[in-house]
Amino acid sequence: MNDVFETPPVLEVQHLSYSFRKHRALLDVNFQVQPQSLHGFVGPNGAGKTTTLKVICTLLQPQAGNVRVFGLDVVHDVKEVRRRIGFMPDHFSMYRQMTVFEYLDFFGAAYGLSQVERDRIITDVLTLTDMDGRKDDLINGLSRGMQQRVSLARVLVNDPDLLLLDEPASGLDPRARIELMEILQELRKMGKTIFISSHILSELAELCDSVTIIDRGLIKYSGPMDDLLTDTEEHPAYVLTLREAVDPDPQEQLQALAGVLRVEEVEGKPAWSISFDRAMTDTNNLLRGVLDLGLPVASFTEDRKHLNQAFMDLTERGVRT
Amino acid sequence: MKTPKISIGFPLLVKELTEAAAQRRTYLVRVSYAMLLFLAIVLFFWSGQLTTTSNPFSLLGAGKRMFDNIVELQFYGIYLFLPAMTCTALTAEKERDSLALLLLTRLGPWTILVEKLMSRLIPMFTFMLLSLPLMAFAYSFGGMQSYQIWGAIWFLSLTSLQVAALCLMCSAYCRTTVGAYLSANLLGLFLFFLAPGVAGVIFRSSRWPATFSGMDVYTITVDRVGTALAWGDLFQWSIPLMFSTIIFFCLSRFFLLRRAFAQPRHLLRKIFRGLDNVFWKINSHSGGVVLVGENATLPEDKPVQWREIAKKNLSQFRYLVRIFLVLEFPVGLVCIVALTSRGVRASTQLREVSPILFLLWIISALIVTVQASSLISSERSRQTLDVLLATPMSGREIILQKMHGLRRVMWVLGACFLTIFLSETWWYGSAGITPAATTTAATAVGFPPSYGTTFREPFLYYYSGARYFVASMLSVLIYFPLIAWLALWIGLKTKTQTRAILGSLALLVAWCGLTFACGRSDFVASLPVVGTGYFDLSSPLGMIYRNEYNDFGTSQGVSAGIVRGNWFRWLVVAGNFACYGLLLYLIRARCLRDADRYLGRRQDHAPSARPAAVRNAELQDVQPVAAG
Repeated sequence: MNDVFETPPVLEVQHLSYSFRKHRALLDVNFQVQPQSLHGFVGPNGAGKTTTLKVICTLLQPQAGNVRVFGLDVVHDVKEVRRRIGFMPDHFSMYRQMTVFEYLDFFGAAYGLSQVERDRIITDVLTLTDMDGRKDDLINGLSRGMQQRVSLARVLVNDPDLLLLDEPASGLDPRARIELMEILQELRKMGKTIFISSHILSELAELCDSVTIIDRGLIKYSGPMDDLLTDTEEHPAYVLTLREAVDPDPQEQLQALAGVLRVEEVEGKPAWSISFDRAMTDTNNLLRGVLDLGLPVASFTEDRKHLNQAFMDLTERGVRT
Repeated sequence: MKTPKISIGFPLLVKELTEAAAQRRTYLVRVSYAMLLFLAIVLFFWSGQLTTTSNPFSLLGAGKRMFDNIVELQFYGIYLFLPAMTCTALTAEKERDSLALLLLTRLGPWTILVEKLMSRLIPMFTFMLLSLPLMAFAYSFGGMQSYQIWGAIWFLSLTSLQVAALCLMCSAYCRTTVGAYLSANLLGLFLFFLAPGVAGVIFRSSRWPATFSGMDVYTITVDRVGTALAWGDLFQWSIPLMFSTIIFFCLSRFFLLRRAFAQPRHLLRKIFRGLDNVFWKINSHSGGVVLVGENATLPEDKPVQWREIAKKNLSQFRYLVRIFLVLEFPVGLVCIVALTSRGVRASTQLREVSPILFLLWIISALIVTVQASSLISSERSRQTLDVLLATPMSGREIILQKMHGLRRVMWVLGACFLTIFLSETWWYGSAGITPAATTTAATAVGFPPSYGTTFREPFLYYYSGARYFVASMLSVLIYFPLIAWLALWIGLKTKTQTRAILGSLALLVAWCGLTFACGRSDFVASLPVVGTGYFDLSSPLGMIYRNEYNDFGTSQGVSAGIVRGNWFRWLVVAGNFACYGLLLYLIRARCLRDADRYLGRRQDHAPSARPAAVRNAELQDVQPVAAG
């Protein structure tokens, strides 16, 4: 475990359960989000992501279990929790007949900020989201990507410590998505904690420090992203890629190296995945052994699973009935 | 080459009927229709036939009248229910973005329209079948002729087709169901009733202009004639009905593709912006005279209230001034004409003003109901409510600030009412109508002197200008907020704006119209219970009507020892408004107390969650469901 996990969590969900009449949405959900981290929340459609988010942002009351935000109970300390979070739902939630500034000012007032504070914060968030040139534009005339920026600016208007974002990149074009992710990274650097539910796994894998995978109301994994994407400590794997194919096939030579447990050819290119026993060798010795074989090495990198693969491994096929 | 297999079927019709069968609303509407029909028939029969004679043999042959009553009610049923059922036909597809998918299938535009039309007409015809037992009952009294039955079937079917085609046309044109419903009703009112009436006056004919309305044609050709009409004549009378149906249907086809992807637009906003442009242009020539300026303010500490006032068309000051002028001008004009007219003065009653008052009530109730029911439901429909609920504002604060914007509209409408109330109060006060003057007043308008003391003419008894004014003002001060809070309550409980508006309007019509009609029926009056004569006060319309016509009953007394004198009338007014005031308080308190729950978030004072172990043990057994 990382050292960072020893600090008190920003968000702590314990034994959370929720059901809609006879249908279970969440069952005994447990996870934590650490301060100043970017935590991904992943799951198939209908897994219970939005329900979890709504419980965290105090819109739904947990039927069982506890949810704490900055140590505050979402049941008893409702107003304080609402002040410290910023919630972006999976739809735009725009008042289209307002200008960007009016919209942000409206929510600033709804959070009880004074006019002076609002002016200062709105100027800052417009700069951060690169919308300061459009502050007097009607929201109705903005593109989808622009509206998403305004939505993000709204989330920031009360200067929350924890951002809860439900599918923030859905429906955006690649440029808008990349720009949104850049803004999120910037926010993390500013000390914000970000809890993001998304379906775009490749971007989450690059962006997030930790991840929770939920399926059919049950938590399948919660913890650091690295732990999910790399193999176990005892049997790590590395991918050896050659500049060109060699003859004879080096698979048997690689298999013969000390400590190597398994060698598998990567389909379609001159590359092999090599897993080894850390008790018998280490990465430096393995690389030295490969170079001694005289192979034209192009790269030697850690074999990380894709989040897609981890996601498919952990979640069940089919749809919920 | 393989020839495509031709298959005959009605996939859209099947889908529509299957969807309707799965909805609880279908059965609620059907039961409501049946209940209203049977209740109305009981009231009709009771007052019209069954209580008018003590000799049972004299009822023989009364079946014809009863049958006409049933058919008349069926016509009203078509005019009332069919628009609500048909206006959703295409707008529902537009609202859920599925019309494009339909147009991409092999179903052609005409097929879509025909199947949509049939999907609404079939339920309507099943509604009409509900009256079969009543017709059998009427038939047992004798007097019915077969031509009446065929005529009724023919004109009821034609009217159903005509109304459904009109609604389908509005549904094809409008972007939203609410727009389609309102435009269908307004168009129907104009085309079937107002236009023929005006044409009748202009051309001095009571027959031909009425031929666009199936009910009128039935009355003229079947009901009043008394003999069977030749099929040729019947067909001839039906031509306007059929012609208008074909025109509506062709226009539906015309609009279906052209308006399939129409962007939503706010008609009132568009009109106001057009007027703004005109005024700006005039201002550029007149040197920039601004009567009502627009302040570019920002919310201070009540953001929701600010939005309601600064961003809604019906709450902005300059727009309210326009609405006031539009309503006040005809009201003021009628009042001035009525007050300065000699003929009116002689009749002791401002007869021209009363219809204006009732029309103003209808318009005002419509505006307040639509606005209030949309306050929350529009936020829900536009998905803007969640972010508002995630702020620290309490549900109570949100609702109170929302209602603040509506209060401005109510003040403007109230000002128009004040014009009427002051005119009438001044008129009656200046005319000096007192109980002692009733005989003189009756003589002046051409009635015998005894009229003033024996006949149930309302204005000649215990007229009090003060009571009229107080009751009138109380009606505005209590009924307006009552309607607003009731509509808001329905809006809080419903998921979509369309449902909220239609539900509120239906409740308002049922409460004001039906309760009033029942209360004033002979059936209720004949019930052996003290005070049934005042049952109509259970409708808000009851007091408005009684106050306007000073109709508090004759002075013979309610029961022994209680005479309906002036003080009794004050008592009725006070009791009525105390009850409605209490009802207003209860509804308002309910809305505010459970505001968070109604808005869709948990209450701030909700109890803490149950122990995880206990609850989880229970939840182990339940089924998983899509929720994320």
